[in-house]
This record gives sequence, structure tokens and C-alpha cells, in this order.
Amino acid sequence: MKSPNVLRSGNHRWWRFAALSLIWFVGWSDEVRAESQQEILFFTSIDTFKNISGDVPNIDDSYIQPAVDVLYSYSGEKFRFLAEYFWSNRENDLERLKAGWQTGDNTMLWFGRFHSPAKYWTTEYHHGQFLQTSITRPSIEEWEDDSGPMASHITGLSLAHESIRPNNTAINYSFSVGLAPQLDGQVLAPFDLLDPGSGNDVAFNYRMAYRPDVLSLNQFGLMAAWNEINVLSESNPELADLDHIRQITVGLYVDWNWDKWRLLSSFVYFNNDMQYIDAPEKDEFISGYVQAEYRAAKDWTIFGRTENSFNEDKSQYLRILPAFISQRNMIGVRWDFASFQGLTVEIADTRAQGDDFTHINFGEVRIQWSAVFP
Amino acid sequence: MKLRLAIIVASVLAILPSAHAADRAVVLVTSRDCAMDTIIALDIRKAYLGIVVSYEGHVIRPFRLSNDEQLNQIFFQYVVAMSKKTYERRLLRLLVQHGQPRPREFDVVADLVAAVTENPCSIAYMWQSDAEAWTSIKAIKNLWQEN
Repeated sequence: MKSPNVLRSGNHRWWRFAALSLIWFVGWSDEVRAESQQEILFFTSIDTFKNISGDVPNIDDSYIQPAVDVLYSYSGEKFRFLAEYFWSNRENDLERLKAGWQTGDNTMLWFGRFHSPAKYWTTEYHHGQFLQTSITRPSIEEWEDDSGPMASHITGLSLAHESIRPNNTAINYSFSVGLAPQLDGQVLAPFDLLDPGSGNDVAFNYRMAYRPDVLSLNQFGLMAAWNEINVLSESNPELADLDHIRQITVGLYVDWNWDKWRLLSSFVYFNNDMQYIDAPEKDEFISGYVQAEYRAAKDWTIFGRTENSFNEDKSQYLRILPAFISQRNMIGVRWDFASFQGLTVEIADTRAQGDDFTHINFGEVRIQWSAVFP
Repeated sequence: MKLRLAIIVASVLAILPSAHAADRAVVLVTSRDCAMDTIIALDIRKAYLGIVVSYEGHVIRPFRLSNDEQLNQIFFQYVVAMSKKTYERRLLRLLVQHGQPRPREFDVVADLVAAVTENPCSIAYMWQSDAEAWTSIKAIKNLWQEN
């Protein structure tokens, strides 16, 4: 189901100039070097997947995926720089590359490639597999190249602000404007830094969160996005007459802890304006998940997640994303050991949309080792 | 007589370590140049959890001494009120999400004191006896006292 994402070759001059300028700025600017601090992290994981439903079309029988995500951070007095690169035997990609300026005590202005603020799970865990309890991500939080239905990677400007009130409640705002992904074949493809002339359109993404206690991680919030998605018509015969998609999403999320319990949930309404050359079509659907986690013992967590979609079979948009998981019921257990290592097992009953809504149902078992170093 | 003397000596020896321990205290320090003369516990916790706390325009930067196990146990229990693993994951989360650096850690008290001295209104926790040995820093809060 995965579509390998291979780094494109091409005209690298713009990219080289930008990278060299950034390195020069980071390395030599006095403003940047003041009180500087650097960190590097290696998120490593080995995933094993087994399809337990026998021979299912378009679904792998099994696979093993080792992966490394390298995150580098540089922080000066007012300046920050963050780069993240992901390698696996299926893809390798520059995930994030952004430079930020602290314009106030609780305000950061970022420029570069970053993750959409309109996706909670994505901006909570990014590519740090070890940080998330489960092995799989909910389908609405999937990356573009894993049939995610929304933009995950945006290149442009983002502004993040946290307003802490005297009673120690906080409201967080994040807003971004940048370049949206394109529809390429049967997946969305984010703007490629190595191919800056690829003709991506604009994306506006927003999130507002309320935290009743600034010291706690508990929060709930609202997310919204307006993505203008250009279509590479030649990449898929089904896209021949499709020129453009205007996608508007509005969602709610909650992340709450009570004693040994944690509830993590998000539901998103999709409105897709499919601008076919002859006759534009509109569709709408809702998709979301509820994940519960229970800390059964000091290092043991039991978890489960149910994902569902509503009106998805009438969606022309999902018709061109056949690998989108519209339903999944999953349970799992995770054991944390050593300093930062985890072993997780997941069993799930899954349904992908399939071509022409044929629905591909299959059972799956996953085992994963994940860690972060140093 | 010998028995009485032995009992007295044994009693004194038994009391001595606890008398020494009773003097043990952990304090929060800042540079002597900083006008801050106290800080509330909530702000200390915020600073060590990566939430911006300022004093007279200076962002309070928290520093840690990493190689003293007992000192760090006191820090986790009385300052941030969470386990070491939970605390470290909180900081890891901020680093991954916002590129926010974790509190800088030092192995040697002298290096920690130098960092506190060089960064206006930064804070660190240490044994009171260590804090009293340096003139460039001052204690602004008693974090823990052995009973």
C-alpha cells in the first residue's frame, strides 16, 4: 500500500543557495551564536507487519521496516533551527527544515518546511515513533505518501503563540500559510524542496488549543485548514479531467489524562470541491478516531483505538485515495524498558477504501521495537 | 565505668551522621548580579518544564547538575513532582515539537556555577554547602531540608 518516496534529482541551485545561506547564518551570526545550544536525536524503530487474512489484493503479506529519524536542533537566544530527516527501507525524505525567530516570550515565527498545525497527532509526535504509544497512526493523521487525506507537510511561514493567563490556564494558537501538496497518482505529494518549480498552490492551516493547566498536557482544541490542491492529471487516468481540488477541513480534538487513563481523540469534517474540467463535484465526509490508553503497571500500557468514517463511500475524493483506511479497530500492548526503548504489539481489523469502494478488509498483526538515542 | 563510656561513645557515633545529614539542604541559586531574591515554587517548576518564565526582561534559564543521584531524586520529587522518565519524556516532546532545548546539564559544580554566573538570572539547584562555597552565586530558595 505504501508508495516509496524517492528523492528527486533536478535543478538544485535554489536549494543549495538556501542551505548554504542558512548554514552561514547559523554558523557566523553573533546574534545567533549567543547562548547557543545544539541537540541531536536518533529515533529508531523496526516494524514488522503480518497480514493475517490470507491473500488480499493490494495488501502485503508481510514486511519488515527498519527506520531511523534524525532530528537536529540549534537554539540561540532568539533563533532556532530544526531539521529532521527520515530513512527507511521504503522511503527517505527531508521531513522538516525550518528556521524560527522568537518574537516574544511565547511567540515563534518559523520559515521553512514544517508539519501542518491542523493535525494534532502529527504535531504531537512528528516522526518520533518512540513517543507515540501505538505503532500505527490514525488514518486521518497518516502522512501524504501513506494515503493520508490531508496535507501533513507545508512549506512557508508559521506563527505559534501561547497565551498564559494569571490562573495558569493557557490558549495556544498556531497558524501557517504556505504551499499545499499536489495530487500525484493515488497519493498527495508535498512540495518538494528539490523541485521548487513544481507549481504547488496555497495552504492555510490553523489550530487553537485550550489547556486548563499550563503544567499539564491535557488540552482540547479546534483545527481548520484550507488547502488548494493542484492535480497532476497525467499521473493517473482517473485524474485526466480533474484540474484542482479545494479542500476545507474543520476538526476537533481532545487529549486528556486521568490518573492511569489517557484519551486521545479527533474528528475532522472534510469538504472537497473537485474541480473537474466539465462538471465540478462536491463531496463531504467525516473521519475520526478515539484512542484509550491504560497504564496497567509501571512500564506496561494497554491501548486500543477505533477509527471510523461517515459518508465516505459517497466521496469522490476518497475514490482516488484507495489505500485510505476508513475503518480500523485495534488493540495493543506496549512495554517500556531501559531508558528510552519500547516493545509494542498491535492487532487490528482494518478496512481500506479500495478501488471503486470495493473495500479491502483484512486483519493485521504488528510488532515494533522503538527507541530514541542518546 | 567502661560500659558507661562505651555507651556514650556509641551514642555519639550514632548521632554524628544524622547530625551531619540534618544540615543537608538543597537550595536554588542564581547569579549574585541578578536582583531576584526569591522565586515561587510554581515558577521554578514552569522553568524546568520548558515554560517561559521571565524576571525583569531576562528569560530564566534552568540548569541542572546531572551526576548527583540523591540531588536529582530530590529535584524530581520536590521540584517538578514527577518521575525521571516522565520528566525526560516531557522535555523530549518539547524538543521534537518546537526544537526547544532541554535544560543544560553539567557534571561538575564549578561548570554549573560558571554557567549560572554568565547567564543573567538563570537558576540551578545544588547542595547548600556547595552554594556557600561560591561568591558569584546566591541562594534564593530553600528547596529541601533533611529532617
